[in-house]
Amino acid sequence: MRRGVGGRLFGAFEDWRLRIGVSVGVGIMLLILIAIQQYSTETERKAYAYLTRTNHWIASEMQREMLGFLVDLDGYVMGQGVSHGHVLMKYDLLWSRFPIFLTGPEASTARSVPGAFETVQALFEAVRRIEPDVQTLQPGDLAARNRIAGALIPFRPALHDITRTIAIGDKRSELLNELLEIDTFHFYSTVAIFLMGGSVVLLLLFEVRRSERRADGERRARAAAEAASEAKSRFLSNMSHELRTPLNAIIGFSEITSEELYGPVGSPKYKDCAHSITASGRHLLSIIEDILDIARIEANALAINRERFEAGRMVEECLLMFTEEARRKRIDIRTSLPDARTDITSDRRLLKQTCINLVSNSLKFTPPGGEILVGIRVDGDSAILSVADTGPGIPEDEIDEVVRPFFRSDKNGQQNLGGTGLGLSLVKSFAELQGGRVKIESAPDRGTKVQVFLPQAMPRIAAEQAAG
Amino acid sequence: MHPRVFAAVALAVLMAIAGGPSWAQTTLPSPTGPVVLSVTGEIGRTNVPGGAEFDMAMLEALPQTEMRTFTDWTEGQQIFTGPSLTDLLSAVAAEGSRIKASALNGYAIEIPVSDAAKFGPIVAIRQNGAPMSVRDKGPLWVIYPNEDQDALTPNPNNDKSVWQLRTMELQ
Repeated sequence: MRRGVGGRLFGAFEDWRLRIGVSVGVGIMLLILIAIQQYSTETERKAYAYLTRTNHWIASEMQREMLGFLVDLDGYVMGQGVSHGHVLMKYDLLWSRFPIFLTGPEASTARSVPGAFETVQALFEAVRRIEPDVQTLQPGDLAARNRIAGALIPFRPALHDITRTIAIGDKRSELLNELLEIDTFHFYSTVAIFLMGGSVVLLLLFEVRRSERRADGERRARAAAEAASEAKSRFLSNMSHELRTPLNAIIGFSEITSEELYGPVGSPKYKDCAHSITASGRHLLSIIEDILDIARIEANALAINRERFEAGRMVEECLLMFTEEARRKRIDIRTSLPDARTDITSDRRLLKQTCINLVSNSLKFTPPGGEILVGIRVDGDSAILSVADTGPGIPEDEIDEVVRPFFRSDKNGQQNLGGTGLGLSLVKSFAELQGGRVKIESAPDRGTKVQVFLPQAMPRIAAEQAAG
Repeated sequence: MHPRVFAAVALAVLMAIAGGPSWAQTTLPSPTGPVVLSVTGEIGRTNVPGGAEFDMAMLEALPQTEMRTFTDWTEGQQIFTGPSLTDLLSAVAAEGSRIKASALNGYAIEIPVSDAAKFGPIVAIRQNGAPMSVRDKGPLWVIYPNEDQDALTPNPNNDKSVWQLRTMELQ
């Protein structure tokens, strides 16, 4: 009926808050993953787009500077109002484009156009070769102008090819292909993320279903066990009632017979028989009472009636029942009642039954010539009833067992002793019902001492003693 | 000779007492060497009609800012030196919110005045301690700080990093 550790672990998963928390967490994680992925794809796309434009720009600017230089060169040589300083500056501007193309990190795509690097390098060498002519150029020096233009102009188609290739040629389609690849990668990784998330969700659902089924099974098993237990309790209770009624008749009529209320019975043997019937009937009745109590306890139907009474007197009443049996077995029952006249609050019937069960147990197991010490004392708010005997004791491995209902030891040849095995079990249940506990100290051949602790007994010294 | 020496001493004393910004309150000197930068448009201090012209010495006289940074056109860390855009703008008492920056080859781009405070760019006149020729993208190069040398994304300020800078028009 009790749930195991495993049950509790799955129980935690049955918690709806945990389930929602895990689902929301997985959802947020998925969204973040997709967002990160989207962002990095976007960044890459933009970087590629930027590089395409930049490389085109770098190539076309070089082309433009070369044309600009050639135009101003002619303007100076033809005497069209262009200064030599201006030509030199245009030469420097053209010069400054080469390192950008040949070594600048930005121009890596432009350089990777087949033949581009070699072409631009050759052009750079040509530009450097014409520097003396440019420095010493005079207006009207057509020979120098032709040397300069002749060195540069052959590069124009190749330079234009580079620009064109970057803008619309192989390089462009290469970049476009890379963009396409990025998009494809993006698509597949989004699918992968969704699949991953989906499988996590499915797993969660499956796990929830499984734990639900498990919990269902547990609930059904518990209900069945509870129903069985209840049926047993009801059966015991009904049976006990049914048995008690005829028993009362048997005890009553056998008493009438043994006391010869309606006249003598003739042979005294009949009287002894009637005595036996009464004794056996009483014994049977006490067993039935025990069973009835067990049934009530298991059905949670045993009511506690707390009242104030004199503890010592209750013990004395209990012992009175055993005077005859103790004398017969030559067992000395002594009492230790330091707080004899103290009132305590408890269930009188249960405490008396506790006392009876313990003393009767001790009487049963203690050999002739032995000794039983019964005591009750108060300790703060608690009352402690103790019964110690000089019996054979309880083996260590059975101390925890003896309080189980119907427990009978099969050791020490005790099988032939009477009893139902309910006594100690009831003692324990009675104590626990009142918030108390039972402590058993025993060792083989050293006797047994049972202590019943009852908290909140609210002991109070009786008025008579306080006055005397 | 005497009045000029006196003026120079007085200027030096003024600068020493009042620190950098006070330089901006003095009048703008005239260039003596070749003009390398012309600032026009919405400016409060001029040295030619409608504009402020700078030679190299004037730019060197402005407070110098050193920047160790990377660019997408150079290899490894570079040390650029020159007046910060903020100092240059206050030297001409610039107003307006946009700068149209043009290069020797006709390249032109708009730089928001707010960039001066936002990124702290400088108008570099030296690269690794040496003046820059036109062939080395000089003599003036607008340099924005760029700590990350191998970022996947290009620096968004690349387009505004004008090399061979020649004119700035405040709008």
